[in-house]
Amino acid sequence: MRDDDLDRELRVHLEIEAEEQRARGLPEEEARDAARRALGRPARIKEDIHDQSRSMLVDGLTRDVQYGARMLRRHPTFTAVVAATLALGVAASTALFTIVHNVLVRPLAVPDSDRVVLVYNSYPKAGSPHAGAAAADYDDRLRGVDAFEEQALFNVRNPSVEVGGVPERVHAMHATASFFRLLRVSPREGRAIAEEEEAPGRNRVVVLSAGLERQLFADGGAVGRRVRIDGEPHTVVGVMPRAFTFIDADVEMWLPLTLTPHDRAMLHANNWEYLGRLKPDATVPQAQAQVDAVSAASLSRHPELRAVLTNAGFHVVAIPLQDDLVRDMRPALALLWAGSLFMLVMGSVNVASLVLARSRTRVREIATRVALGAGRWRIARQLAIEHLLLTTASGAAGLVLASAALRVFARVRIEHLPPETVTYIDGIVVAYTIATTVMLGVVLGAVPLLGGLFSDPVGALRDDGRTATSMRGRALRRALVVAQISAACILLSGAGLLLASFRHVVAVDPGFDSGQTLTASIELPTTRYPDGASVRRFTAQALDAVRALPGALSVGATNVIPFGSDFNTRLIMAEGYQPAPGEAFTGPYRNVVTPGYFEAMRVGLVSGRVFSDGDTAESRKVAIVDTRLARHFWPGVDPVGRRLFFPEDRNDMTRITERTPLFLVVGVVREVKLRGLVEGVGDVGAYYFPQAQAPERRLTFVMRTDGDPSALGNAIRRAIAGVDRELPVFDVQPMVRRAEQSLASRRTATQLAIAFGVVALLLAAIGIYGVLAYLVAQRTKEIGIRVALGSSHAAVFRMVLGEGLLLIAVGATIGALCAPLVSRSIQSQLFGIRGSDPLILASAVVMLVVVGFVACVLPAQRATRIDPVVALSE
Amino acid sequence: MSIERKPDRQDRTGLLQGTLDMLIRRTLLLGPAHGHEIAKHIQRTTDEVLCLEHGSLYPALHRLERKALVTAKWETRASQKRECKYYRLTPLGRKQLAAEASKWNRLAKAIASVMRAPVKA
Repeated sequence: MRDDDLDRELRVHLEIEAEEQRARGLPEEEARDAARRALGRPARIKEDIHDQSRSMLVDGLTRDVQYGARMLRRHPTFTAVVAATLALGVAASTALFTIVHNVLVRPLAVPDSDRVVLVYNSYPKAGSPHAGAAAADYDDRLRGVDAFEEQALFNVRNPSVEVGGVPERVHAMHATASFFRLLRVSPREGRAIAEEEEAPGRNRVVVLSAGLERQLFADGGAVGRRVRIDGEPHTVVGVMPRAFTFIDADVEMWLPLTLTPHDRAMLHANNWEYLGRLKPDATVPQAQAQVDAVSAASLSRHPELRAVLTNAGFHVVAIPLQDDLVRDMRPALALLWAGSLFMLVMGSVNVASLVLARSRTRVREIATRVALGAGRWRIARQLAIEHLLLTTASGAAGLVLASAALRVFARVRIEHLPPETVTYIDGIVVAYTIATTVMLGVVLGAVPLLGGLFSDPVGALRDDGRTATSMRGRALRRALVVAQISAACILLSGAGLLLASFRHVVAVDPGFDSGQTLTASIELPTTRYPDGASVRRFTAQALDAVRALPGALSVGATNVIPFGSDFNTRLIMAEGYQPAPGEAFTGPYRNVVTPGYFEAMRVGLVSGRVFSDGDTAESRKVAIVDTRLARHFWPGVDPVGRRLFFPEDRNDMTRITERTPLFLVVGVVREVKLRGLVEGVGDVGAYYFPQAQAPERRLTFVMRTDGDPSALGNAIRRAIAGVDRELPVFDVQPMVRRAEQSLASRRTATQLAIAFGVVALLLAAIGIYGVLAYLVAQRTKEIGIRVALGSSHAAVFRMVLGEGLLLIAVGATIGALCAPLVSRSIQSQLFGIRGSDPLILASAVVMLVVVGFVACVLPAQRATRIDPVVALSE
Repeated sequence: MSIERKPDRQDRTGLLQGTLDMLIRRTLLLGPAHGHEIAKHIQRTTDEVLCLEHGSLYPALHRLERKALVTAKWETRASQKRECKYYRLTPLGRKQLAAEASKWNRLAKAIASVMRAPVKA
């Protein structure tokens, strides 16, 4: 119908036009052609009308989105720089928010987790500020502390469970029956451990994790069935819900904690963790006071301990468990998050600056649109949508980038927290990202509005940047860029310090050679290896089996593998050593090794001999000390031939009776950095006993090979299985990997600091670029005039460059002045370098100046290309 | 109302859409006219500077009609021997034209004053 109407209208038009052409004297045929040419193709006209009707029907928003996308495509460099800046900012803040959210906000997934209190013994002057708790205190506290409604003890052990025919080492939590009540969690199926099942003989029951249930009983229904744990049959009484983890996410089963009379009598045998749940009206200080009263009462019953404990600075700490778990990380994470927010803000400032610089060039477009009747609201909406488009794309890219960054983070093991929990992106994180993104879009869209661009388009057309508003804006932008440069300077020098420190750490001699060695651990269950003789027999057979492997050069075993997680300290004294008055007795690291261990690890022998097969259970008790312990007990003297003993009298540590066992020092080895390259062995060093004379159930075999050690993993498993088929072999890995893992968190911290430094540097560079580009855009006319009046290109170049270099100079100076103040706060993280190292600071400043200079050159060059004719006619 | 300028359409019009709409309504201010008359009038009054393709007129008229700024009716008039579709301004179209014209004039003046401003040393 409408088409007919249009056809008729066009036909009439053609007729009139043709008539007019004929009137001018054109012949009939040519007149009609001319008319058709003047009108254009009717089909095309119809199409135009059609398109137009459709686009008028489409929601105005869609049109705005299309228009915005077109504008962004038209300025690819602008779009890319802005998107990259925002994506980086969003990624950094999202990644860190994820970690902060997961670590600080929900470290414990149990009901009313803030009421759960950890109670531990602290001996700060003896180098052990955060020890566990002793079972001996349990009964006393049950009676004496009524601020708690429940109290529980637990610890984690690693028994062996046969899974699919292969013995596996499973993390198991031994806990009092009160444990589940205290946490207010109950099994998904079956029941928790009952009070009476703590008794010996009745304690062969187990609660499984959902994961272990699936591994053991594929068809489910584990309750009531049997599981062999360390060879002993246990009855499954319950299965926990899938989501349940507590402190150690590796724990796969819960067993009753059976305390022996010996456990209950041993004061300060801190083998357990102690939890209490506060009564609804009780507070932590109340609990602390009551715990202190119990400790004081216990101490008054044991006056012989007073001197030792006072020297060690002993006290008991009651602290909300959640706070304890995140205590070490809280300041670091808060700082990181603040840093990432700061970068996001700085990134936005840069982007705002770029948007403003570009909106100068869009003045005419906008002013014309306003003049042609486009509503201001309409244009504001249009600009907001354009920027929302940009920030949404950047936000999405940021989220992807963040999840990639988190995968890197996942390599760092945060104590008590499984990496997948820490780096888990949940709805709240996504909401955070979306909120950040939308806010950015709206703020950026508002920037041109703030510039007064189209409240007064005529003024905007005239404005050459000399109005009071634009002067104020310019001062603010410069101040922000100076702040960015200072921040970049501080972050770069911090990153430099961490990098230098990392290199110092890597350069530390571990005391052994980790190349071409393979390690594999076992733990012998007491059930099948009840005595020293059986452990000795196993050790000898396993060593023979591993030594027989092709490619094995030397083989040994130790109870404490360097860079591992389990360490043993025990106070020891040297015959004739006189402790200084008030000396805090710190236990040196106690190691038990087999013959061949020092050779396999290539630990250097300084004096005397290493252990041999001649050191047997029946032969004379011998020991080896490391150089640090040798210096402590026998400064300047060769210890070989001297004797060590375990002090028996707490009031006189030097007392030796004829019954005191004495250990003859037969050798001195170089100091092995047991805990890690930085931590080493503390101040007092280490001593070694032969496995034959002090059998240990937990051993790590070390095999030096003539080729790639990781290729022999299965061979060493088979060799040990050949001795005991039921024994799980775990942590089979080259020593090199252990060394790397010991550096992982330090390496990540360094990488993170470098990433932050580089991002800050980039942001500062973009900031400088943005301010100068804006300056050049704003002063195009002025520069045009200068050039027209004979100013050389070099002079214009110098003028713009000068502006930029001034900003850099001010920013770098402020940064250099503040950097040492900030570096002091990371002094404790540094190794082998001082926080105020001038060389590092100087390098940071130089790097900043070089990059900043490059950022200045682009706008300065653009300024020299300004054509005075074009500039003045604009 | 924004300037929807698809490059191809702009090329054929040689004119911004909003401007063309304004020119059409300015022409209709003189009285009702059919498409051919409007095209000729714009061409004539701008001394042939704006030589618009007649075809682009119809989408514009269509648009104005949809926005109720003009109305159209088939009529036979004395000046033409045949029935033509005549367009006339609505009161709304007249009011908006006044507002746009004054804005346009201010802008043109502003641009002119910038262009005439003495070049300072």
